[in-house]
Amino acid sequence: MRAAVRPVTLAGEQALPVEPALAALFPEGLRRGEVVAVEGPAAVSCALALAAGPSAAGSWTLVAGVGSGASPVVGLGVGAAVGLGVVPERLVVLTPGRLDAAAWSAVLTAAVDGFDVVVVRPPAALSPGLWRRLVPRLRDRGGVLVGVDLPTGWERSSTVRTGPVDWIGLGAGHGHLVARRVVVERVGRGAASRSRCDTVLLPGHLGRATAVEPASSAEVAAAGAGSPGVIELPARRVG
Amino acid sequence: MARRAASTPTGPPRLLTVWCPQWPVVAAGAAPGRPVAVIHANRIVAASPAAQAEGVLAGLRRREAQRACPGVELAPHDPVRDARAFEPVARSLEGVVARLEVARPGLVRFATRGPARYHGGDEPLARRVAQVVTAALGERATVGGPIGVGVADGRFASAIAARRSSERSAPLVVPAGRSGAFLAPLPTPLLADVALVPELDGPSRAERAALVDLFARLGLHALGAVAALDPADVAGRFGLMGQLAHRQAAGRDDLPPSADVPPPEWTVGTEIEPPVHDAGPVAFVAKALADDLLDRLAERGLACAQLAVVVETEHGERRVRSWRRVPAFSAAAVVERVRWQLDGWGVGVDAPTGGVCLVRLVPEEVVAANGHQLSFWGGSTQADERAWRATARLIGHVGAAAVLVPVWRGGRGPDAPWALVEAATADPEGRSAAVRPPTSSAPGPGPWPGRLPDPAPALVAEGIDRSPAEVGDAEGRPVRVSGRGALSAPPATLAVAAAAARAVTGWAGPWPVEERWWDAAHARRQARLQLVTDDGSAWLVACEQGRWWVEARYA
Repeated sequence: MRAAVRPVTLAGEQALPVEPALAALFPEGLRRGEVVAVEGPAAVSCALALAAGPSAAGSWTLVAGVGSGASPVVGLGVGAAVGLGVVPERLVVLTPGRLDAAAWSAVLTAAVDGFDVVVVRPPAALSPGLWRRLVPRLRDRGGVLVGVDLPTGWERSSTVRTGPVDWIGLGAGHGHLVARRVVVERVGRGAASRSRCDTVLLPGHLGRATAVEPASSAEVAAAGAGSPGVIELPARRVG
Repeated sequence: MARRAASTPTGPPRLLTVWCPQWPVVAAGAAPGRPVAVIHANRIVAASPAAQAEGVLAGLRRREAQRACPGVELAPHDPVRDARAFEPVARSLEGVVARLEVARPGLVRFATRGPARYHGGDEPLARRVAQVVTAALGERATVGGPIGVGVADGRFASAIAARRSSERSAPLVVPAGRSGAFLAPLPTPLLADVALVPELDGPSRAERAALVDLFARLGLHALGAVAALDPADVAGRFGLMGQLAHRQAAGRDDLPPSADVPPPEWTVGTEIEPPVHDAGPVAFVAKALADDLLDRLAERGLACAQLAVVVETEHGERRVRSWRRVPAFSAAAVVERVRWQLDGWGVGVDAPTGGVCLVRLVPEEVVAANGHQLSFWGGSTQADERAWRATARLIGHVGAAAVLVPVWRGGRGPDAPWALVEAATADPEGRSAAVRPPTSSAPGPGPWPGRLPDPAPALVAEGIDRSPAEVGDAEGRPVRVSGRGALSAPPATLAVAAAAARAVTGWAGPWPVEERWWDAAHARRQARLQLVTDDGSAWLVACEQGRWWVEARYA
């Protein structure tokens, strides 16, 4: 019955666009109703980069509590979000402090009702059951939920693992951080069950996620062979 | 209906305006005689007389203001604080007149017809109002400059009379029917002065500024010259904004009198059960009511320019205020006015003793909707409306302080140039302007030399709540930064908070940051370092007074 009364959606509207750099992982775009788990050292940047594509196309993004409990740095850097392509006038940031499970559930329900992309680090107070209950609602509203460091076993459509990473541009006492080369891998269910892997700059020069050309990737790797983990760019880049 | 009858059918209503100059400075708690300025999005919005005397004027950038007056104290702009601080003034006037129209905190007006008869004329009334307001403000009465009380026909002329009255420190009454002649010699740019035309906000403010600029280039330098134009030509050439400006320049009221007097059945209201003590849920209810009211008006091709907000508590306490917005209200603007009213009521001597149990919105003046009524967040897409509704719900769940939106503020810190402000106080229609740098700033790296190079860190320390860090050299001794900005040894290990130390594989810096060195109380001197550790995580740490802090993480 619900399917019968729901407004007709065109095939193109069932997926939200993704950034070109992440198109290799999401060739069909972000399907509406999808729960994407993002893990690893570049999880926050990757989640923001996923939000960038829909945001540029007119969608709204809610970022709720992305700072991890273990790390002392908890606030969202709006500069990074905008640099990765999230449109600032369609960005809302939630810093909820301590909430109990029921309050979190209400908050996330309101969030998936109103926002096309909800980026959240699941708080300790939330249970896998409450998380699972969000999914039908998410499908109904046609949003995308991006879970940063989602605990194992929690409901998801696919998982994006980031890492290993290496930073470009920083030397021993000179240069500055310019970009980060990240190996990203997506594993999922159904259509996405085949694992897809790619290397991207996340963030790239000036912030935006950038695809790494295979040739230049080898070049950069060769240049950085001397110091593991830190790769120096030509001098004009590091300024 | 009574309001309409109060003015003569042909002329504009005769209004008394009370103007408290530089109200944001007064509300910020500035001490008399101190140079204080209130800043929003890196621009001065108000400055105390002492600061103005040093050349700190509205519209200047933060650095320009600090250059003109190094001792200036800067306070962030907070509309809710302004509204709350103004409430005692509005309340004191309720003893003089039954119905007030608060255009904006700091500027209030009412029709003089009834009260003038009671007090024996406009002049005695103006003197009485000046006494009442000065008494209500107490020692704050002179912080922003002398209080202005002006009486004239129409809102614009009345506001100008109030400003003139402030300059000469005595009430000013423009005789009935003489408003046009009073305005004629005055300069055209007054039409774009937000202090005088406070209802203009968001995009209409920019549109008005562009129009006034165009008037100047057309050689219309005095309001009289604008008023002399043919109304039909103005409408044809400059559209609705031109019509409004033309009416104001001619000393008539801003909006043409509408034939539609809103009937009582257009009032919307709802009872809240159980009563609530918090402004958040009331604002949420008000949002639904405002949507309902504006939708119903839109069906008739109308928009609301003035409405009264009625709030009642379970103990029968009641607070009514009229609010006005030109050309028309959006639902978000209505919610903002409801919040101002509730926040103002919550403080002071007759603060409500019970929870709010009734909210009612009474349309008092409607105008033809003419495409000028903007939708939420400046756009009209369904996604925008849905998101704004959800934001209002989130505010209800977690409180206004936890739901934030970015605005452009400039700066050199890791979280710059955007700052997060409460979504409840952000102007939904000015969003696209608020998140962009001021247009006059030069292209390229921008006006913040020494800021962190891009890309920006994804996680930043929240507020002043920084975590300590330990930066050690190869021998395990703490790394120090000398007064000349040199490191005692290259950093080799980094330990963040309680975590174990990790080896540093790359670093850059130290980048010295010296801010506000001219101001002993707020001066900060720190040195920043970018570090990459062997697990691939990148950090921004700062050394301040010999201690290391984590500023941000490139997550």
